[in-house]
Amino acid sequence: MSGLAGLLGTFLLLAFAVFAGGGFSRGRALWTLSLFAHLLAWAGFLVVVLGLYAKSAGGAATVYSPLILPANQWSAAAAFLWDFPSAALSLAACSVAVSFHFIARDLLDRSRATVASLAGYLFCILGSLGSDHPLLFCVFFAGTMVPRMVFAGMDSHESRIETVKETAFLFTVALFSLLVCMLAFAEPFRGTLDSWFKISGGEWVVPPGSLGLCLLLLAASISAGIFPFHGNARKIFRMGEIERAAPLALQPLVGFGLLFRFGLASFPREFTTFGSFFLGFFAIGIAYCAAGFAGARSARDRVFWLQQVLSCFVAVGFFSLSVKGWHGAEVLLFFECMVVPFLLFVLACHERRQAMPSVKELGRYPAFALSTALAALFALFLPVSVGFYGALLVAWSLVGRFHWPLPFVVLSMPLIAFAGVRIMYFQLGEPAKSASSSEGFTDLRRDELIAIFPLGLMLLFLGLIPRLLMGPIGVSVSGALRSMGIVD
Amino acid sequence: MPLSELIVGFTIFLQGALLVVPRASVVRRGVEILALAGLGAAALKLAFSLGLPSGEHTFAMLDDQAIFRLPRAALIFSSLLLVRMASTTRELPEGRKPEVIFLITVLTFVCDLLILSRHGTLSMILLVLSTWTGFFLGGLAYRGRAEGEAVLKFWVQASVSLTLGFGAIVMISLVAGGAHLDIIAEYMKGQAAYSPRSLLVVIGLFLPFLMAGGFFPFHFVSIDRDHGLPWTVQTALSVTFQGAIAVAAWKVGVSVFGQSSREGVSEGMRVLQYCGLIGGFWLALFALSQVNSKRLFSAFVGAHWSAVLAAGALPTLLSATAIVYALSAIFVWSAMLGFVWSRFQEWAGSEEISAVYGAAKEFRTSGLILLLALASPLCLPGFPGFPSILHLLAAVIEQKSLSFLALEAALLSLLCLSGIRIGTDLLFRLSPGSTKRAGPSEFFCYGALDWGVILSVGAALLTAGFFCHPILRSLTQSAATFLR
Repeated sequence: MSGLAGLLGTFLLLAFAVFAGGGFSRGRALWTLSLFAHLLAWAGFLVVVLGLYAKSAGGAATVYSPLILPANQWSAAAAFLWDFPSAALSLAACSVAVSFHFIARDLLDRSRATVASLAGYLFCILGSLGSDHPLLFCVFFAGTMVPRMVFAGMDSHESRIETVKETAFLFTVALFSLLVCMLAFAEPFRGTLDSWFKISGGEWVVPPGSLGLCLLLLAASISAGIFPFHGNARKIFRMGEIERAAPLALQPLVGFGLLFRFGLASFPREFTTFGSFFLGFFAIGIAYCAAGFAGARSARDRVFWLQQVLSCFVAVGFFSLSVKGWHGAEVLLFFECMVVPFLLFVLACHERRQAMPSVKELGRYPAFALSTALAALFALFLPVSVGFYGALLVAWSLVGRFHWPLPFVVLSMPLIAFAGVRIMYFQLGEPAKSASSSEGFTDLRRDELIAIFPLGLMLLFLGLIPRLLMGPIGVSVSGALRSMGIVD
Repeated sequence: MPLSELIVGFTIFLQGALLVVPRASVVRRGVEILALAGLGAAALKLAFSLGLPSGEHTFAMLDDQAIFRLPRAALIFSSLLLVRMASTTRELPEGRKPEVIFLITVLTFVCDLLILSRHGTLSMILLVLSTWTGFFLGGLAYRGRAEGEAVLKFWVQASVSLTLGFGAIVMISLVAGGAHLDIIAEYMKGQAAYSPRSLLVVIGLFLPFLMAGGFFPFHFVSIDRDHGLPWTVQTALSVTFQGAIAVAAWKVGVSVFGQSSREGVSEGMRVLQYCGLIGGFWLALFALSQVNSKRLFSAFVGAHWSAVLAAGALPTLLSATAIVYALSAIFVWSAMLGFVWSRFQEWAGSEEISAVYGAAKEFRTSGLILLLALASPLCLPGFPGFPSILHLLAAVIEQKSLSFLALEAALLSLLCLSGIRIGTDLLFRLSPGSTKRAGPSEFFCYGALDWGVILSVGAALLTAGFFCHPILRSLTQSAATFLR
């Protein structure tokens, strides 16, 4: 039942994307239909999450969908399989898409391509989160390119065209890396690798596993937009209407989904050998991004660096190859895909207002003040946000095992807290705007309220009762790692 | 003779008969309807006989292999778009359009026969015939100096192809004892790898194909040759002509060198692979730097043909399936790309791509058709490009060579970059010269015939993309017969 709900939630969006692209409806009617379709998808994944949640006490944490989708002639049994973390992430992505309808109502009203792209993009993200076969994952991964191009390119200035091209080209490189990696290590080639990669007369042979690992990491880091490809991700935050970046902020789900689901399973020996190296690398990355976060001059940059900090934390948790680390990383990934769009929505509300009130006047605009306070609360990693527990678990997974990366992670925390304080009021650091008069300033409109508060309250609720989210994720993660022979 | 060939041949006969009728309007409409009906019927016949066994119509010189029915169907499908292009374009004089449509049908027929051919002499005759048909097409489009230069270059190429082709086939016949592909293959089995005699056969057999098709080392020929020709002729030459030669060259390579008793990649297929790789890189890089749309289109499509040839050096079941599927896909999407791109350029009255910046956003229906055409080279799932790339990479992985794998992946990435560039320029860029563009919007009003052709070709693209699994399975079964 819940497997069917997941399939319905995923493929309904594809049907709607085709409908919207076909031009059968326009304007407000299309917006309403789009909202309805996304709400149905959200409800579908709510059913999946609740189904898994009910079963998690008994230890079963997966749903096998009845759909068999042959992706090519080698994989006759490609199917969808949702475990609790992927179902929770799917639900979070659907929530962001539903909220996006309200914050970007005008945009969706006037651009049919954006409506179709949103549905198509979410379909691909949900499909990639549910894919249980690497080649099926590749299909959904490839599908995200055009919606990404549309989000980054439509209504853009001339200077952004190069960004669109760069993004698309990097994406193509990631796709080809992934295809080669998945093909080379799938049937019918698996088992004959040793003789494949001879450079000249067999004198120097590239270890196939390390080559596969490099290709996989290249694909994952490009699609997640983390170092060394963070520059391209940063350009996304520079578009005219910042709310347009919110769906693109879900992209790390695909990159990390690839790592969590297929990385360790495909290359267990290589990850065990090189894992500590990458862990140290991303631990330094946390410190670097925290410094960038603290030193950022604009609100957009702060959101970008916060996203990078979170991505680095997730990477560190993943490479720790421990239950605690993976548990924390999965929780942080959920937090990241909710909080970054939330911050972008709040930022969009700020940027829409020409005149800004001073900090003293904020009390006169309660909704505005509350949204800003919530944004600061989440950016500070306070114990009332689920991000705190995720970061704690990741840091804890390093204790006693990885000595030298730990100081980088611990020392980064004050920097993040300092930067989080600055995010409390987005316009701080932009004196020209904050000094202007607050005349004509209005509190959040109804659409903005509907977009921001459900996300914010859901994050707050999960932060106050973290067991709701963290319990089933922990069960699922420990089960998955145990099946791969890893126990704490 | 296969039924599809008979249908196209009969269509040509009827068109020829109609061309002598003095009433121009009747002739033009009649020739076009005949071409669409005949080509459509032949393409459907081929598409529905994909799963039927090979060899129903095998003669001494022609070989109806089931594996080549898909590219033949794709070739004929793409000609439907060419016929519509010829009919609606303003680049061709009205009075010459029936002749152009007639010649496009003839070119399709000759190219289809070229794919069927299993005899060296017949292949050379068909190669020369198709070159001359292209030459006549260029001549019919004559309006001024630009077309005149193109026709002159074409004449030079046709003459060289004629000399080279027949010289080569005489030489091979003397060396191998015959020009039938089976005889040459038998001869090759007795030769040492990379011996002077085997290299002589390789050069003699492939050089005419490479020359006529504009593949490395003659990769610059087609772009220079086609420069100045109308879009319809340009697309016919880049898609039908060049594509058929690519398929035929690969078929000849596999038939003669693929069945060699030696293990690994044979010298003939290796040469074809190098030609594909070098020419592909040259054309892909050339495409990136082009501002002239016709040259960009020619290089873009040519690089795709070369990239596929570069992947198919090892004739195995997987490789044969991959190559045939990828070549078939290119026929259809490249014809569609030429169809819609030409309208943008004609509307702008310029050959520069900067004149049509953002035009696809302005005219949404045409923009959608452009996206439909570009979806395949951009590897989007649901379109034939994604399974093509997947299988091409697998075919190269089968060769167990890291360097070739890296080169092929780099070439395909460059081609994707070119596709991205075309897509972003036509979709997102703001036009700097929008005031200059005074072209009528009638260019983007599609009639019933246009819609019929677009929908049938679009449906073929989507069917090949979404239902790639049964098609690939059928191809694999046919490949087993072909390779045996």
